[in-house]
Amino acid sequence: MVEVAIGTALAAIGAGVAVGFAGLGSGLGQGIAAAGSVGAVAEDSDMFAKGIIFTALPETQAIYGFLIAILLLVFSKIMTGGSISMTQGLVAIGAGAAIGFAGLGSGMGQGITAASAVGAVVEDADMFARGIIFTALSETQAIYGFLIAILLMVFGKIIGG
Amino acid sequence: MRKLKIITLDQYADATVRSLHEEGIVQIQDISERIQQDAQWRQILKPSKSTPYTAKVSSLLMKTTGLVDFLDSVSKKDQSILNTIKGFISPPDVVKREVPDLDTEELIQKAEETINEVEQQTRPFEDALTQLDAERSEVKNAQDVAGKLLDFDVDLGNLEDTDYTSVVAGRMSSESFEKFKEGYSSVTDKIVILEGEKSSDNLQSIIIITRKEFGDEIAGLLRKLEFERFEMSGISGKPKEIMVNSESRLESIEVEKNGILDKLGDVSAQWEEPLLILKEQLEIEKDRNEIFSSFGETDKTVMLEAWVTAKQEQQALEIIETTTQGHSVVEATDPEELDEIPVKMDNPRFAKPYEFFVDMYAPPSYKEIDPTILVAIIFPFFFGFCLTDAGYGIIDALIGFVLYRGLGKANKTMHDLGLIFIACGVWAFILGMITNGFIGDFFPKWITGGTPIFTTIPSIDAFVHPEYILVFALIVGVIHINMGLIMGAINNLNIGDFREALGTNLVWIILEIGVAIFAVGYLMSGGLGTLAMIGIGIIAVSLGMLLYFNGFFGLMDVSGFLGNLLSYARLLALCLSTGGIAMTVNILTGLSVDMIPYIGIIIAPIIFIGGHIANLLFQSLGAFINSMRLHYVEFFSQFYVGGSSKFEAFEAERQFTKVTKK
Repeated sequence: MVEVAIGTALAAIGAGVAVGFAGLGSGLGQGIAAAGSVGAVAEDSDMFAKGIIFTALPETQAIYGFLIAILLLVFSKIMTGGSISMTQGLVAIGAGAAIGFAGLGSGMGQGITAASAVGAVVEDADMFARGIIFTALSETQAIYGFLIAILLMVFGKIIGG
Repeated sequence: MRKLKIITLDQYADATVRSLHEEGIVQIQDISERIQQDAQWRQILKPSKSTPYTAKVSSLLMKTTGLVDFLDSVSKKDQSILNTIKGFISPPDVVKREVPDLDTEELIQKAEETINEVEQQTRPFEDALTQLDAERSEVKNAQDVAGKLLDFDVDLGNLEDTDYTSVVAGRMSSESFEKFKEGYSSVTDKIVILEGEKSSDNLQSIIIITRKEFGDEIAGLLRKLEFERFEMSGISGKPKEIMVNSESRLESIEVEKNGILDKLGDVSAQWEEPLLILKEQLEIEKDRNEIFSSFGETDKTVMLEAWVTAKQEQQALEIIETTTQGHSVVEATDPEELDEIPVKMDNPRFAKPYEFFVDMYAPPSYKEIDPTILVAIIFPFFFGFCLTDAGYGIIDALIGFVLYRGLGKANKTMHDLGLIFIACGVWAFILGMITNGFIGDFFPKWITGGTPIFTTIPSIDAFVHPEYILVFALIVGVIHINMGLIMGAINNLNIGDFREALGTNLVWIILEIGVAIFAVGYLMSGGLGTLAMIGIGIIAVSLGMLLYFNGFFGLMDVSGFLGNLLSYARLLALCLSTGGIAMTVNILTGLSVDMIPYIGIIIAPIIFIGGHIANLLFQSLGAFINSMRLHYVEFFSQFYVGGSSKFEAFEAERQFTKVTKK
């Protein structure tokens, strides 16, 4: 059996960190948001659809983490048995950490905001639009992490190398 | 939207209300408050009140609703699975019954007659049921007590207080009983204690007989020791006899009850439809009588104000003219500045289902462009982009079709959802076919041995070149956001807010142009040539505009804008996640066949079907919500304000009835 090259293996660490920590933050965030939504639906069963929308908002971080992980998997050629250099692997860890930790904090933050937004909408249905805007504000951090991850992968020659 | 001010004679008021209600094209504006507050109006008009029939109609409506609910609870329902599925796919058509157009008094009379007739039939059954229920709880209580006193072979009817004695029967824990035995002698020794067997949970049944004068003290002592006293009134016979009799009596009560419920079911089947029709007529009548409280009146006339769309203005004027036989004055004007103008969305048929999306965010305000058409075109595309699996797309479209033709016939939400799903499924199919996604890698893995589907465009084969799809997604994002910016600019210019248009909408377009020119110039000349410098200049101008219009925080908005653009990368992410999980299900299916002997071949289809159905559901939900989110957060926030109230027509909602034209 051909052994996995060290560069590729390091990229695998990056992929794991990316989806692992981003999923952690997103999961916690969605849990908090869902907890708020459940209470709101008990109070007013018409809130179901809006509750689902708010609960789905903190999923973004997990999606970004997953995306970076997949990109790392594809371009580190781990699935086709190829290899990348060790330095590229180290860059990959950086990329993974970028989105992983940014997604961690952003996901939890969004969850807290989403839970409060659900509470606000149950009180006053006009708050829906502003609630969404407030919830989407903390996504910026995840986007910064995502952007840096992509830039690292491009300039570290992992993509297009 | 046009505003109508109508004055007509008292005698025509009722007829006018009825015909406008039936036609359902105007929204009545409540002017009673304005009359009370404005001195000029107060001199001429008084606020009108609901007709005197309103209270009667309301109470009849409540009674009818109660009857309908009761009959619904006793109706015989066919709960078989086959019928439920049939009901889902092709529910029976609701036939509208023809009813004569009764006026209020006639309707009240008819309602009272009908309600009396139904109650005459249901009342005796209801009473019988209540009686049986009361008897049942008595029998159950006797059964319960007798069960606890089984050891005592005594007629329980004798365990009552007499002139000189008081009797207590009950049970307590063994420890408490020991304490009682130590303690009772301090009260009296003129006492007889009969012990039963100890039960398995350490509870002792006891009967205590004592002289009447000590009855209360003993009872108090027992209470302190947590004594559970049995309620003996109405029970007679020996415990063993009671047990046997109770069982058979309970059974016969059940049989009797079922018989009565059966008969009630027949009553329900007979009266359900007439009562529903009556309920609808009463609701309509109530609306018509209550609406008078929104009018103003003088001695001989009535005044009302209504909103009507410009398209239907002529129709409304004709109705008023005919019903009042010309005895009316109508002034039709454009809405005034300070009016709260209700908004009726007017979209072509293919876009109508998406009005609900826009509404959920906020109903559009009067001066804004209605974005529904754009949503109707773009939303299914985004959905398809997120799902990108042709096989799943086909299934989604089929589900949409079933909803549209089945539940959608009667239910508007299902009808709209059905159409939306069909559109989404079609786009998912198209985009799946060009990115090599049909139930994941189903074809390459098992059928074509590695070759992608024939319709794939090689440069956007999903897992081979995700970077090109990412670029495509970002380009889509740029286009979408700029559409929003342009609409925002148009909206602002429409209301004359030139400053806002420049500062929040056009400035970003200028920034983008600057970046584009800079990038082109830089790449073409490999350095800071003239084109690149022009680009930098334009960027500087836009940053300056941000500072000027929005203060220092305007510069921070740049990162927000960048974030909005990057958010569209989720289109790629979701595309890959569907494909990735589908591939995993396929891998697991393959493993199951290869590695598990014998039963592997049986388990494999289960894994395949179950896994793909679960993936389909999750990914469809995710695609739906993320597409919606892209519209709400990134698109709408560029231009959409919303906030008006929706046009609510004063209309007779007829689900079960239709009026015979006289």
